Amino acid sequence: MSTSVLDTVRRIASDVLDLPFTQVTDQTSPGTAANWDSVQHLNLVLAVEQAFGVTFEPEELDQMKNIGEVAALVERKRREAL
Amino acid sequence: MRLHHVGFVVASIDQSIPGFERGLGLRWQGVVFDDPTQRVRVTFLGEPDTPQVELVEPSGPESPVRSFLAKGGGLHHLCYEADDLETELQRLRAAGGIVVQTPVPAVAFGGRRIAWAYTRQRLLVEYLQRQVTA
Repeated sequence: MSTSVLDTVRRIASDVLDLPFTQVTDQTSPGTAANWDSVQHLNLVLAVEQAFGVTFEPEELDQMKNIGEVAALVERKRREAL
Repeated sequence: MRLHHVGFVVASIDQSIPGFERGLGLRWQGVVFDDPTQRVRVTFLGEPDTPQVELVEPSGPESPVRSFLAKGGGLHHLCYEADDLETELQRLRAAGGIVVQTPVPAVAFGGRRIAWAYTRQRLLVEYLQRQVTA
């Protein structure tokens, strides 16, 4: 996985979830981040779409179980767009 | 489009109804719907021809409103009745919103389809098909 994509997603999650950047890893999930509720999940998706210029499908929202999976989906979207 | 209802997440519908009836002066419609697709129980207060209040209670640990309730619950979404859900979702997508759930029939609305979306303005919106589709 691209470090730059993962780090950008980590930075976005840090802002949305109000967590220190260093505490956001690829394993950060709704189970480990108290602020990551259903509404903040949508805020995270909105911010990631805007940052990378990608569009997620409804079924993909449920696949984002942690930050690493969000970054992986972004990378897949960007490859498909090439 | 017409505002159909405002969704309010509560821990217990049964315990919340009396307070909403007294506080808002609205009449409870008397039916609680269990929706396994949405994983919630819902009921409505108010007159059917005016915007209503929907009480939403999670129906299990995997309910999508469970985490919202854990932070206190409360005002959750607006529901608009629309002639064509696909058109509304396309318009919302073009405006930068997210389609959260594509149209599915809903037991609380006699099988009329609903869809869920989240706007760029951070507003959760439910769209309700005006008529039952074949």
